[in-house]
Amino acid sequence: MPKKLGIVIAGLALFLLIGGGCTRTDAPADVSTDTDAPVEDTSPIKLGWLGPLTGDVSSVGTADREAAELAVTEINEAGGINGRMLEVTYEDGFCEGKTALAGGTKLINVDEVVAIVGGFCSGETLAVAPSAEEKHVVMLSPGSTAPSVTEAGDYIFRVVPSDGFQGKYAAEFVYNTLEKKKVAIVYAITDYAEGLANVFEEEYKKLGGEIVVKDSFLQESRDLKAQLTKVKNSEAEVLYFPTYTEAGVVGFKQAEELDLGIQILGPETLSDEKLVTAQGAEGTLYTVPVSNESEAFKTKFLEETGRDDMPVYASQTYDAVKILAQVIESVGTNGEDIKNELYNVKNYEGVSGMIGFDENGDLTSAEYKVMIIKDGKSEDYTK
Amino acid sequence: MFFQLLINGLIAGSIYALIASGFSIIYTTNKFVHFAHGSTATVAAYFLYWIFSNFGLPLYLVFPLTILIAALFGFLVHLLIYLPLKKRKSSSVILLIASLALMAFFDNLMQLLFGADVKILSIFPHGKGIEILGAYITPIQIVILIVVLLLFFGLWAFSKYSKLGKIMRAVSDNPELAKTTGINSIRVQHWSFVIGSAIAGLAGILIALEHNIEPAMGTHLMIQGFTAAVIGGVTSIPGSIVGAYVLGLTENFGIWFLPSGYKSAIAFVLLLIFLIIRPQGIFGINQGNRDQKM
Amino acid sequence: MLSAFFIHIAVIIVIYAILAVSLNVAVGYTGLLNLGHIAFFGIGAYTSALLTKNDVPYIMALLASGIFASVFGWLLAKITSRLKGDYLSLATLGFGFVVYAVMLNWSKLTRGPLGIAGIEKPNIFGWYLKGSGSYLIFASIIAAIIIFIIYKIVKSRYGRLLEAVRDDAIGAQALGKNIYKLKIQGLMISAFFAGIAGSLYAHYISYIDPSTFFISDIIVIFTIVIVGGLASLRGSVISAIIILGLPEMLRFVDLPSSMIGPMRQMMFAVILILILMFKPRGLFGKIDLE
Repeated sequence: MPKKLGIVIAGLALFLLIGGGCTRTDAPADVSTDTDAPVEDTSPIKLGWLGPLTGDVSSVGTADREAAELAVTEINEAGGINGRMLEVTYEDGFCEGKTALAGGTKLINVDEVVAIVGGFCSGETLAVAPSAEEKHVVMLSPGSTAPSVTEAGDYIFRVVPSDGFQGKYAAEFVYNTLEKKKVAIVYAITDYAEGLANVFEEEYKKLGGEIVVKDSFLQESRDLKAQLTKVKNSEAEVLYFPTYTEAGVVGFKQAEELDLGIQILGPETLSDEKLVTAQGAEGTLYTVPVSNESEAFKTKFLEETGRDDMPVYASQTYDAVKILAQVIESVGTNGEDIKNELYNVKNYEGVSGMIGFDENGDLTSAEYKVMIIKDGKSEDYTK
Repeated sequence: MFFQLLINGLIAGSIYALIASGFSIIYTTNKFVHFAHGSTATVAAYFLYWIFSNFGLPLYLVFPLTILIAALFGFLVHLLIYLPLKKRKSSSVILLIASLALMAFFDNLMQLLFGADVKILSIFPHGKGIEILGAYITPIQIVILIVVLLLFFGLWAFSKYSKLGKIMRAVSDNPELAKTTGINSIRVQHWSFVIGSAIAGLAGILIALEHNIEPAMGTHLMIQGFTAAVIGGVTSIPGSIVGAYVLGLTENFGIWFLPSGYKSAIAFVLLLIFLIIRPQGIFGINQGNRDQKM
Repeated sequence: MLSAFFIHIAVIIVIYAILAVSLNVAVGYTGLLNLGHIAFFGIGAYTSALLTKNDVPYIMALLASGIFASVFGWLLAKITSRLKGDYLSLATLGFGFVVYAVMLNWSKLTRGPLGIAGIEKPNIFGWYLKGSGSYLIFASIIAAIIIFIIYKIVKSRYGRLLEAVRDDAIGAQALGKNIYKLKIQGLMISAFFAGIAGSLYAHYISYIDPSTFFISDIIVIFTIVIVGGLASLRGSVISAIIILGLPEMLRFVDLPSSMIGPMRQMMFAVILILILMFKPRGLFGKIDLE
């Protein structure tokens, strides 16, 4: 056999050896090895956190990371979980599937975490869900609101309500409160925004309203003049604008430049500081899930992190860590046990509100309110 | 709506023209595709941002400085990377691949240094546009249109009447013959990079003001700038500007019918069609033998 | 577990080795500089993902990926049949862009930018490739078969015909061989194996979206092929190991994850430029890049 081919075969054989030798690590089901130990284990319990540390939604992601860290500190200062310290590995999801999958896979296969707080963006969660499902690793998301996450798997939970609620709330708000009957929808093509756009459309039409324009853009788009021109040219009275931060900034700016002249309404992503202070944001409305966060928590969080405002989903992140810790404390670190016990959580009093999971791992109810952007700040909207 | 689409198309075309014209100067003189040209604009934009954020220099200094830096950047890229490759008799395809590598290198360097998030340059106040015939256009957009118009006539006059311009055309048409008449081809090639990159620097400034700054900004526009140059005719510098407007208008009128997401697809399809059916573009001279370089 | 990390890298290397070797068939042996090669990779990935989502058995999906990609290889060859030199390479790049645009916009089929998640692990006549280790074995077997087949092709008389097309030998034309047909076949073979690599990739990573098959990955595979050397299969394989293995060393240096991505891309770019400047034949190349 020629030398070259021999080298190639030898190289591949080497891979096979490595692969064969390590095949044991890929046994399905349990990732952890702790529950078999008869002796008391004092090694740290490892959780994973997956969210946008860089990129479009990074200001929210990094803020929510701090909420997680606060929860971890509190848990460890109180003695940890059954005497074991809690350790969290933070991975960047970049608010998109590809990067999130790399981070999530690392958490599951390399770090072998017991559970994951995350993904944050719906696209992140949906990309990692199949792997988590397969390897029996629970994912508890503090921010993935896309309706499609409901069916993402048995191991996928969230402490935020599905946008099936938020889209409906927004549609009802526009039709009943603002009393507008014609809406244009311009949405980012992401699981989250597209989910909202579709729910809004469906609910708004049910109420009797008309969707005069439905157009979309890529999240990386930095020029929305085409879409906004179409909206301007239509009879739309309101623009429903589900988007993440960077494209949102562009949309606000260009809407002002084109003198769009109609009310803009968006979802909770518009609460990002970069958007609230952006050019053209004045007067924009957005819906947010109501967080009945205790003043105590708010004060503590703002004090510990030195921030001025509560970032969206910070209390949910905090709750997610705390709930997982509590569940692990009672049933141990086996993925399946954790999953089963989570379904029993019905009345957990979290800082973000009362938490209970239905048979899909979704919150059973949701409450929203509307905010308005005025002078670079958000305040409650009152008609 | 028609007038707004028209204005949108003209603005888009102007931005593409800023990139395409500089690219075209470099291409006609050097006969290879300098894909990293977009990165020149990106680097210029970040330089502007950096200077503006850290030093309180007046604008009339900062803008020319940025253009100078861009010109220097292009010059160095040619001197340190392309020239050595040319000396090794590298084919234009090797230079193209090298330019892709340079593009990747500098775009990622900017991301490393400045982060992936969008940087907003708040130099001039923003606000509602000026209304003309039912369409809106902002002051910066008007500036961009005027600049490109001036650029068009300036470049046309430059290549037709100025000494350097005429020399560049000679070198472009026939490098060997130009050399025998005493023209230093290498010097001319240097100049093409300096001038082309300076225009890219100008592009970087204007695009930063209009669209803000992020690492991939130059490359994204490079694809469209390149398409514009192909449509107009890569061998014709004013042609590349015309091609830019053809592209900008086609894109913006095209999405009247299609979902707006198809905008970039229009550019790609036009590029492919022109490369296959009419590679010399609208104004280029059909050099007859497709087996040769463009 | 560290070995999980190494297995992961190994799988990626094996897949890219197939991809690089397939590109070499077109560039190194047939002399067709296909800058849009990544399109075949993507077409294979999407074909395999969509078919298995519709309950097509994996082996059939795998073959279909290769076949469907080779149809596009045929298409590309037809489109560019009268082009040469710069025109040819740029048209292939344009082709790659158009395929990307279709993946992005034909959302009814591909789900556009949302991508396709949850691509299942293959089940081959009862052998369920659940773990990365077993996937590595499977991918390596496929790679070995493919490299063996390509080796046989290029060493045969047919291979010499392809090389004659590359070298533009008057002899090839004089022999009456249909250059046109040979170019088409060369691209089809190249595309077929790239499509197979795409399928392997999709089922390993389990999530694909259009951005995977765009510019930055074009640069990676060209770096691998050029560093390895044109018309050298051994070169492509070894180059894949080096080029993809080296940046992984970055993970052991304590860098924030936001820096690793750009640094990796910069490493590829630097390696490519250095090779072009100082050793354009690559490590084992037999001919110059023309």
